[in-house]
Amino acid sequence: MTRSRPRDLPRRRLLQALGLGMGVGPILPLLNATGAEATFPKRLLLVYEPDGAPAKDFNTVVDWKPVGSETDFTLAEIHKPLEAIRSKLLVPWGLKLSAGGAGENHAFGMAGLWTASTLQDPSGSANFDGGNGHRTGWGSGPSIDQVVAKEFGPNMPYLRAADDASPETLFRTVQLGVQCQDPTSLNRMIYAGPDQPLHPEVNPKSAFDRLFKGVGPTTPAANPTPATDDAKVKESARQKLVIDMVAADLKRLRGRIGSEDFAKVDAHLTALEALERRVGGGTGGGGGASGTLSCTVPASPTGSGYDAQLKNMSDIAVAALSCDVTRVMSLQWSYAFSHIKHTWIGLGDHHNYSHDGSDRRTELTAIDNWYAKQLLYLLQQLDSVKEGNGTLLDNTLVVLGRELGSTAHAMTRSPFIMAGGAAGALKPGRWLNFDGQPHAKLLVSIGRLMGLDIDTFGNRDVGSGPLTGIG
Amino acid sequence: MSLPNKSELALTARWLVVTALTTCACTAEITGSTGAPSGESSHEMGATPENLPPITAEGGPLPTDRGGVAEACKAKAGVLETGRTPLRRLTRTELDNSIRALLQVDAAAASSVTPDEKMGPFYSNAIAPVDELAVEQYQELAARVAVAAAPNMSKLAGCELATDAACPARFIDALGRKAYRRPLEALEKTELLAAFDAGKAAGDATTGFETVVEALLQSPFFLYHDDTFVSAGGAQHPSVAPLPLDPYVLAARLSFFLVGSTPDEALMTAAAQGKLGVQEVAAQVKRLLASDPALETVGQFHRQWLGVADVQGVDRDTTAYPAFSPELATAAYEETKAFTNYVLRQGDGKLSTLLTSNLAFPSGALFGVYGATPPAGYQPGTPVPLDATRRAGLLTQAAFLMKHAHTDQTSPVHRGILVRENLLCGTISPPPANLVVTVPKVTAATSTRQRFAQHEADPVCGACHKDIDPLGLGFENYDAIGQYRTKDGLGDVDASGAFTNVRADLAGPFVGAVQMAQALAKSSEVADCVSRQWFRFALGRVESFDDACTVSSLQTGFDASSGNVPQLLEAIATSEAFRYVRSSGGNQ
Repeated sequence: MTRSRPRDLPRRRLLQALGLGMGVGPILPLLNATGAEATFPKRLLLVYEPDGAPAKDFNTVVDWKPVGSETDFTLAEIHKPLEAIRSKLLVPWGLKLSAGGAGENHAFGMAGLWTASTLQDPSGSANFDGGNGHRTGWGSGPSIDQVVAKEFGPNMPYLRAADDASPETLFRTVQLGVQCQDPTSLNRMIYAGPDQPLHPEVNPKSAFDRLFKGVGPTTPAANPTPATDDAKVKESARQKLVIDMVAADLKRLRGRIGSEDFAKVDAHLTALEALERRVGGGTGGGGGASGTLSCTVPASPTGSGYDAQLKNMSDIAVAALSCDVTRVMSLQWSYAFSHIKHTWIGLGDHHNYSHDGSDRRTELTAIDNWYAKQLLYLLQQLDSVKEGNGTLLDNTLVVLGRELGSTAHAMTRSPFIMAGGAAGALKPGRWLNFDGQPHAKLLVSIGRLMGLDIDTFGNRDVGSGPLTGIG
Repeated sequence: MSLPNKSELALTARWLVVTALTTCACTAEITGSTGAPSGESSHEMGATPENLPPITAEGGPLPTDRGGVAEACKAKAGVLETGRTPLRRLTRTELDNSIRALLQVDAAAASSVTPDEKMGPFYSNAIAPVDELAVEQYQELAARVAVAAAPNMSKLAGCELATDAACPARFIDALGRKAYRRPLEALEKTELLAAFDAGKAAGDATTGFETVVEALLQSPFFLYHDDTFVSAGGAQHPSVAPLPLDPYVLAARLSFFLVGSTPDEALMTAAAQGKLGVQEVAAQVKRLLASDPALETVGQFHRQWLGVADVQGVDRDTTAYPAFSPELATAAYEETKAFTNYVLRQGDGKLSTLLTSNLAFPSGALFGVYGATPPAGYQPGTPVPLDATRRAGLLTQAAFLMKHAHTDQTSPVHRGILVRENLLCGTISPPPANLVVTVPKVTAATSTRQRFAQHEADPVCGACHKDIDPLGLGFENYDAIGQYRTKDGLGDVDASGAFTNVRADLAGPFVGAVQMAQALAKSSEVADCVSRQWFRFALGRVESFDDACTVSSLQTGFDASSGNVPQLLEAIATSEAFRYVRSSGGNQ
């Protein structure tokens, strides 16, 4: 497509009209106007790493159990690089994935990772490749991040409801990914509900352009610029008119379709409402942030290849959280059956190493080690953003999860890593032994750390309660 | 690796198919017996816990045997029924084609919109709803297209939007009709005209044009297959009973089925004049199938059906296969389109010819793979006859053989599964949960058959592999890039195989892919499966119990025509399931 005039997407027009650019925001008051201690939003970031702990065969798995006492310990080889930030980690060792259903372990592990729910059998049109040539449907429940983002309350990321008339963060949730492949149960982990997978943006440039349009020094925090500029008002009105027309069309369509399809139209309408808020000049925050945010927008992403894209997406995630573009995010690195070739560390196809007939524990450990370095980078970047007396990492709960326990398809002892402080809710610098306990408990704990009042999550291990000693 | 990394993409989709089934190729360790970590119990596979929300039955599955289908139809006792059609969004290809038809702009939706869902082997966005990301992407796409089309707006409108007061209404009528694939309703005209005026007021006539384009391209009447639209006076949806499609909706369905795009003027005119009865639809199928855009449709059906749509991304160990190159994979990809179009549009149109013809359409290095040389004065795109004792149809062409193979060896399991699932419409029960998944190591001293022998020896593996491997091993004369071979390991290739768990007219042993292909070409089971696959491709959904009469008549008709595919497409387009729509399952 050729662009004949130097014009751009509607929102950019809008923001140009607003005179907003990108840049580094001030790190200013630690105390707000009333002199009380500044408060910062609480954030959630779920991270996915493919496959499980390195295994020679089903019964011979590289042990990743930390060694030492709860607070004085060393990490196993696959996590070694994370020693540098151990004081901000909580390692929940020994969890068994609350996952199952159609397809095979990679597929239902993926569908259950953040939902603790069953991967549905194929049925009618919900009949597609879910791994190993078998048919599956989609997952059967929402993921914990989506529930956290939807609810609101005093100890939650969002104090303000999404339908509140007040300005809102640009996005309630953002899903980013790196080379995540086509939409099948193997390649998606975030769900708004049954049969409602959410797709990650996998193009760093598109993610960057979308998230940081108009985010800059004057806009990150709680006070949106009032719409006074004439051009801006006109452009905003023009875009709202289009969105309202589309919404009216959807409502007309809804009047003549079967109730089976209502969820599709309703989801479309909900997404349009969020778009309309953004067009209307959102970025007002979700409430509860009195401290000035230190918002640094990185340079536009460059480079290709899995490793470069992964770093790009980490930078984008950190900036999006620091600038209050959103407070609930997920980052999906690759996909179940990851066939990423790790050439930059002299290695080949990740998934093939698990099943090529040789003992590949060395290679698989090296790949895990590389992923641990990527997590370290992400955590260090979060930790480098000052917020009041602490850091962005202190105000965030980061959880890294994998769809398997081991590369030999065990669902036990899945290598989860938690990090950050969840704005004081989580006490890191520890490891805990949860051997054999269902990971539904972890999801309950994530929900509770983020402010939800729940004792159960998902449909696999109903009523599990939380993990003892976490949240 | 570059950004969309084709080689990754391609390898993956089918690679993973085999992984767990190759599982058995394997040490077949069923676990949980010793030490930690204890395995998950194998009952997990396919388990449906009590607390799982009920899944909409969608009429339930259709029996697989022909008698069962006929019985199911009989049980309808003459009452017209069809399966429910879910609300579906256009695929990326359909978006690109439609936007080109509307505005002569290349929208590149394929690289800017979330990838399409698959329904069986075919792309169809039938389940997952749009999310915030998709809505953002649609908005960005609409805005980009509007800006790109703007310099051409006078030509597109056929009048001057800036100066001619009557022009905006004319332009909106014409473009709206194309975008929504039906005439605009009065309210829609009013709204779009208001949008033009608002845009003009905010900027100029160009802004007005862009606003209209943005609104049209984001409307659900453009983005979804709007099956439930009914012109004034017709019976209204939602309806549990199937209702005849509005002529405009039927025109759109025909067009997307056969040319993957918005209906052309001939179809729109036919719809407007009520000239889309059964005979006229049959004539339209002939016309559309003969048109240029149908080249892509025919190619894409067969690529998706055979699981080779991403063959261009395969990767090979070049030590094992020095003849491999990305260009070779592209030549194989192109051959599928050229060959299937030749048979269906210039040849006898028969499924048996697709499965047994020795004609090939090689280019470049693909000649070498086939052991052929370009004839004197060879024109690319013309058929080249290959040795008929070695090559028979699609299953012996490079795309299939190359796609369903490992980087360093063939994959009887991949090839067997593809035949079992996509040609025989069979299902394979999942492997036990706790197998160690291992592809056997290539050694000079062993043949592939020897390496995969474990499957037969081990009763756990054998349970599934007995219906897979005997099909896949029949392809052992073809290596992982499709070259014919007679030696493997230390001995001669043993390409004996067998059809097991199939209808009586197919069951039994065979030797080599040529014999296998000839048997498949005569099989009623393959013919029945192919008619179902085309049904799925045409309707974007899986057939259900309620489609019994349509499927039954397609199957008998396909038989009666000796497997004539163009006639099958006509039969689908004129079938009840195609010409009627049931918008509600009535079970909620």
